[in-house]
Amino acid sequence: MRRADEEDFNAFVAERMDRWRRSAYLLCQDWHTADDVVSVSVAKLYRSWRKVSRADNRDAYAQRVLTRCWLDERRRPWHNREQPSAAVPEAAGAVPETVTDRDGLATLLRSLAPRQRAVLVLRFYLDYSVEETARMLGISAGTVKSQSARGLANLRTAVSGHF
Amino acid sequence: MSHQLFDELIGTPPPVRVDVPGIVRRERRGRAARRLGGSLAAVLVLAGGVAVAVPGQQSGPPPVAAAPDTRFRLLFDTSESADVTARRLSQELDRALQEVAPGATWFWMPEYVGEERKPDGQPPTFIHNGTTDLVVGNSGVSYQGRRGALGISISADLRSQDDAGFHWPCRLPPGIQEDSRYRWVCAEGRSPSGGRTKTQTQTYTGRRQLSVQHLIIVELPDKRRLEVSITNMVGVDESVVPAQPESPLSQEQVTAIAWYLEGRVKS
Repeated sequence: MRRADEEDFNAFVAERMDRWRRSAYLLCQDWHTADDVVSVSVAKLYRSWRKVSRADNRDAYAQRVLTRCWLDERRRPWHNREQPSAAVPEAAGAVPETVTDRDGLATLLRSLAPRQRAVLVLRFYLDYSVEETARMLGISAGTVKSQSARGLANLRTAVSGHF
Repeated sequence: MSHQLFDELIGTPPPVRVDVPGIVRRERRGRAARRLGGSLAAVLVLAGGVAVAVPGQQSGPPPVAAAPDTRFRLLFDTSESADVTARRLSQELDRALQEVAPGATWFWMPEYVGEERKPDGQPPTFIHNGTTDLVVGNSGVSYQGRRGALGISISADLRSQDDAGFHWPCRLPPGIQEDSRYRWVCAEGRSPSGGRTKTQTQTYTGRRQLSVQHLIIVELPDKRRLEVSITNMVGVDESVVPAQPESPLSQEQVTAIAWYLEGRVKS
């Protein structure tokens, strides 16, 4: 990579680091994993920076890389092992009817399958459209709509009228 | 309002643990692409498996000085200690190369395009990030008419308690596709001190110029890992070219360098 490209890359990463970390945290709800996912994403972006820099929407490209990194990690076998946690896990079936506070949102996100969770974060935190979200996740717009239905229903009451 | 709720859940993010300069350096060397799931993998279980040599009873290569124990610790707790560690690594690597490949010489290899030329004959200057637990060195090596790049890194697993770390098995994690452009030979094993190891030889089989890389990753005490690699490629970024079809050192020689360095490090 040429020096000018590298400077462009570094500026791009620095400007978006906070946003990436926040979205990664919402996906995994663990800062260690979030930073790991962001690290892997940064490496992938560096590797394909020529392609990234020519993309119509570099932000969307980067977010797609990050989201897919997380989904890939979720499929790895060590996620099935017992993991230490500082917090006591929520009891099954404790998802609230309406989400009105951070604990309710945390419970809701944890209750969703990884892709559903990604849909929720992309659509309602990062404000990507249905079509953009579908492209990022490699699924149809219809699937985005159906997968966001449950989360949307729970969130709707809390933020009535917003969606 | 939804954003507010999400932001409340996020709270105040802890300090960033994403080492962008380190990632860039590793990617520059073209190795991270071949590290399979290096950031999220299995737990490092040391559990006393690493033998701590008693001074004077080391089985590794004899130290240069006559002191009973001339090994050193990998300290990165301050910028100063990291500097000392980096300098010591450079010296030890020079000794390791001469022991494993007598007559081998160092030659300057740029870190980036346009870097001011430095003299040949110097072992790598190890780069670190102050208190960051990562140190990397890379330099050109010439041996028996063959030239290439020798790279060494020591890094910490990013977590101290969670079950994450380097992916030690040769078998790829589910969902990770093997890069069909490379032919891989991989073996799992144990170092003389009992740490886990993974050795790999990867040969580029695509239409581009032939590249070959021998690599070994060794589990060190204190949840660190050592990586030593040699390639037949010289140059940097787009100007990288194969110097000859074979790398200057063999997989066995790279492994011997790793054993030497491992034997010099105190837990």
